Amino acid sequence: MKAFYRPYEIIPDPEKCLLEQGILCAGVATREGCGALCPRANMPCTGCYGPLEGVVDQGAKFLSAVASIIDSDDPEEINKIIGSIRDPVGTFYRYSLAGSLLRRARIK
Amino acid sequence: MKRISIDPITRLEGHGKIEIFLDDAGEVANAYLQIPELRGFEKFCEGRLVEDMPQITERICGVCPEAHHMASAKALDDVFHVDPPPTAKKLRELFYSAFYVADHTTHFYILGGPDFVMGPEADPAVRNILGVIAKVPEVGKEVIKAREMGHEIIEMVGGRKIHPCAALPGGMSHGLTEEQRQHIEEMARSLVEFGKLSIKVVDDVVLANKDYVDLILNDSYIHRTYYMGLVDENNKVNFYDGKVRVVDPEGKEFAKYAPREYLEHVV
Repeated sequence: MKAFYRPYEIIPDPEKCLLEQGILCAGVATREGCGALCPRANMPCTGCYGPLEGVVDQGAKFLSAVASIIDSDDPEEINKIIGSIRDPVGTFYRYSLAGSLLRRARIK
Repeated sequence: MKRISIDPITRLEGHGKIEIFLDDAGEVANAYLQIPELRGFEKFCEGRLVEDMPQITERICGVCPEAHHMASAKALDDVFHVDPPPTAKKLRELFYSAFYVADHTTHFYILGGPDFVMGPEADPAVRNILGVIAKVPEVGKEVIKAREMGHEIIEMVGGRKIHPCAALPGGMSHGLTEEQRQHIEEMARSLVEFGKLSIKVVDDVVLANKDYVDLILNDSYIHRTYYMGLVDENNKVNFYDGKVRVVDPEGKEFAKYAPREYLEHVV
């Protein structure tokens, strides 16, 4: 990806993965069960069903999936691409901040 | 001083409490309605992405998220200075109308209505949806079907049955197929029939009960109040769009304003 988009900034192709089109969709890091209701309505998954089994930190999983699709080797350009992500905490940890590794809540 | 507490209030969704204080003669000295919970939405929405508002504010309620979803969406239109195209407006109105039917079904048959259907002398233990089903069994099945249909339309248009996701500034995230449109039309027709059945229940069961009619026409039961709602350019009620109009107990217009002028009139 060369840039990420907010849902109102582009009209996605409904046949293609939203993340592949630059929309921050949490489907890759979220337990299934709803039937992908939001992506089927062209809206990104926000992760409300929680992490997959065995995953400690849902936001970190989502973040690492997003990091792996950034299409650049140039640190400056990478910074620019990451800069197109608004409200990263609210996006990656929408429902899971309290139980996340941030602030070491889960480290025993 | 004697104190009567009604806690929680079960005729509405959410948390409420009523305290009534009686004097030595047994007359009401004071009565209070309290909403004993802090939600904090006003505060924790600050600093969040504006386009997330329709999906954050709707978490206020699991029964009426659609109303909050739409209110946020319309505020977003205003923030972005965009007017949704006709198709999107129709989708939103369809969505809101389906919600209106489903929500009023919930209110009439589950929250507010059972008292009326069961009558003023009924045991509190039967003043609920189960009591209603036992008293008018042919309606019980229809209630469940009507709510299911309402929510099916809500999901088709809004993306989800509860806490929908489809509203964006300037429109909706997806449309309908012709097949879905036809299915919705079929369901809408049977929901109109259900509405007629519900009016018949009010006529046959509630208004035919003389005890109840005497009670609700009694002076102590009448609450003279102002009314506020959305109206179109002809001052006719509109559930989705228009201006906010307030009328006094006599029905005379007290205020009329565009939603964005809310703060000037209400605070």
